[in-house]
Amino acid sequence: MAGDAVTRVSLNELRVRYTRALQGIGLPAGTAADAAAIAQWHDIVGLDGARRLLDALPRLGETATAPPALSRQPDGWRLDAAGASLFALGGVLVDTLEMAASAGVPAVILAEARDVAVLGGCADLAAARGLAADLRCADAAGTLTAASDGARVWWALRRGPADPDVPANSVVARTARPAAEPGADAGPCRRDPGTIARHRAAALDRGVPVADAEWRRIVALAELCLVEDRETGIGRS
Amino acid sequence: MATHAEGTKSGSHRGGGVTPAPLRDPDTVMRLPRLGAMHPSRLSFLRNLIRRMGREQWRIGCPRFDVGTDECGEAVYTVDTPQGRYSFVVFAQLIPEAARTDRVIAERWDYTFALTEGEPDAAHMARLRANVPRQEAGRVTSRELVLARGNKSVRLFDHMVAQLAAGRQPAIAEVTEVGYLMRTTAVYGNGKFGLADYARLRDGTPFHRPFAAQMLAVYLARLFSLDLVDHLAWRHGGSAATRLSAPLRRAVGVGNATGLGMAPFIVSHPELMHAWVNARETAIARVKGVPRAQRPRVRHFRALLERAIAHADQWWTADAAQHAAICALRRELREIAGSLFPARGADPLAGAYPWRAFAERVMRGGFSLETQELMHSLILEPYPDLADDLADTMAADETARVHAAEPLRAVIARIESGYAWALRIDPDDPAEAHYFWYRAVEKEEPRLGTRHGDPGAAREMPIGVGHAVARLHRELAALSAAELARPVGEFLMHRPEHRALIARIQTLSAKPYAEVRDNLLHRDMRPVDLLRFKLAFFGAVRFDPKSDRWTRITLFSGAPLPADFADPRIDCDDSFAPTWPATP
Repeated sequence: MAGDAVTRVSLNELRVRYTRALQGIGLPAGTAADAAAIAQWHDIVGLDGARRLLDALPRLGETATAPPALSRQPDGWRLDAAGASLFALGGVLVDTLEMAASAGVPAVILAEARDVAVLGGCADLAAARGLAADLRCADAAGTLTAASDGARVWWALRRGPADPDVPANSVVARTARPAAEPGADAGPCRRDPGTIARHRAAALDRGVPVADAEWRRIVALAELCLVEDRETGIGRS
Repeated sequence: MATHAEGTKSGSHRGGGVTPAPLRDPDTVMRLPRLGAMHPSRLSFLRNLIRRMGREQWRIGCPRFDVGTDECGEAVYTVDTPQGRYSFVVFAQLIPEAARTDRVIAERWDYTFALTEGEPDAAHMARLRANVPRQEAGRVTSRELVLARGNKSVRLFDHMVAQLAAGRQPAIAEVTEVGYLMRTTAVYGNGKFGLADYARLRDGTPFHRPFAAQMLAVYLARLFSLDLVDHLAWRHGGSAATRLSAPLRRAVGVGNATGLGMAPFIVSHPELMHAWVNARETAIARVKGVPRAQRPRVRHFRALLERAIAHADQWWTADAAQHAAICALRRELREIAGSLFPARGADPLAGAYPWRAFAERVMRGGFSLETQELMHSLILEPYPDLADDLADTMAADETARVHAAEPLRAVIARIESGYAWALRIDPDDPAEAHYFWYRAVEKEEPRLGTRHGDPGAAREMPIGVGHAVARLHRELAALSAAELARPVGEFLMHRPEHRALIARIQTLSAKPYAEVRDNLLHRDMRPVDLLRFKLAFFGAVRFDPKSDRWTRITLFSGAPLPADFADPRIDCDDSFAPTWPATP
């Protein structure tokens, strides 16, 4: 976004436009709302939510026809995403974590998913439910982690070799509070709760910068929800 | 199904051993016809704001008023609060009559406004000047809290300027026929078009209560309209001109035209709706729990009942149904006054729990919904000590979420307890799905279409909650016991289209005032009832429906002027059921 003209957008605008854009391409309302929340979280903490969402668009429209498959083992559950985007399955992942925690199952793997790098927004969804979770995925630069203690969220990118326990295109999730401050060794590629709170305060104070071209695309997609008509809306006297 | 007022959970409310009565049944309160007969109360947002302005002695100034005889120009008002200074910036232009419309799809307006933090310097004014008159087509920043616009009410405005310029007060009949000099047609907040998010206002500003910033903007728009007629009268009449009298300045309000744009908010913010209604109902329950009515409070009630009669006598509309309702209100208020305050005989308010007995009589005595709801607002007026603190309970976070581990059969149970009203809806009856709600391309205006006549049903907004719940219940009831024992999260993996609704049911089934308990898709549904419900909480009076889909109302009629807040002789919280002065 450096050098691009930007529009400063309020958090309410982000959420509403994202939700409508996602509904406009065919996602059901609840799925669209969760995906919008994931994207908005990334915008708030400076991780390019708009760009990530727009990059995922080609995959998002496919999700409705391919429900994930859940298989249960005592030491963990596997959720096969069949190539669906984590934007569309973030709510499902958190649901599964909640069910697993309730059943005393320590781990869930979301396999064969795309856009797994938005697991930070999923941790935020978990925190909003009061759910503890530790999420990891492989990234080109190393291992991404996001965690919730049921109220606060951490996010970190640990640069280096990929974690062998984290398969590609997967999210490995544990239904437990982080044992220590997650990502404390991740250096500048980290967002701890204090940093996230400062980002959120700044977003409320000044709006979130979104590249003009990206914002125009989002707004155009949101208009897919609108109806061209000649009805006047005035009603019967 | 009555529930106990929240006050009972912490024991008796303070003040004279009051034990709140049970709250009114949500199946009674949340029916659309009753919501469409709702009246403002001391918990309305404009009353909450006025009390705060008086308590904190907000100072309102006008450092700039540059409007010419062509009615074009700019003005800046400042408001000093304990939390800092805010400015209300006005851009005025006189638009052709043909361009003047109340519709949200309008492109031009006589007046456009912004409420902003601090006092704008030249650069800030330049940015506002470039954007505020464009409204939705412009962009504002998080430094601006409210963006609004309005049009003048031409006949009264021109009459008033002419009269004042000639040194005369306007004719009372002209004033009362309209009641305002300006009509706002949209008042935006909460992050729209780049405005400050409501979340930003919750700490460190005087606007943490719902719609407080918007109410202040409308109050200042009213002030501008009053100052403008005086200003133009002086510009036209010079030394012969006079100012609008103080009684008329207080009586004149701000008009507003409200259409379907307001309706989706009521469905999209159910936890907020529950908070608003729960506050009012809790206040009512507290007053009904008063064991004995003190004489000064009864005298206050009586004086306001007489004022309510005068208010109803002065309330006029061309809408036949509303006119009939007002006629019934006038008749019934007199009947109530005659029975409560007879020339001789028993004093019905002298007994035990008099307000509870009175409220029950009003609810069961064959009185119209207008009368019932006006009386429930009126009984709060003598009891600020029991009602006003509830203003701080009227905000709410929207927290709807899925409870994924809950078994699916629990969703059925929640529907059958908290959404039993929706099970009255027959999803197979075409009348029950007659309408659909959608947003039009034109400025995203919410509109209502008929399902088998108008295009756009495929892009329907999820407003028909009751109908959707009825369909969901039918689907779930057809599942086997084994399927119903499985967790909600598994069901939603395969049925994502139910995610939002199940989250809503799971979250709101314990919030009895969250939902309008009628089918908002039904053929006989009157959208204007939804509008009046929300407008009553704003503090609007003199509902004047223009169709079943839009209405005009008046805000701040009878509200204090800025100088009144510092005058100890004036009760600034005395605008219930405002009336017109007999003479200017």
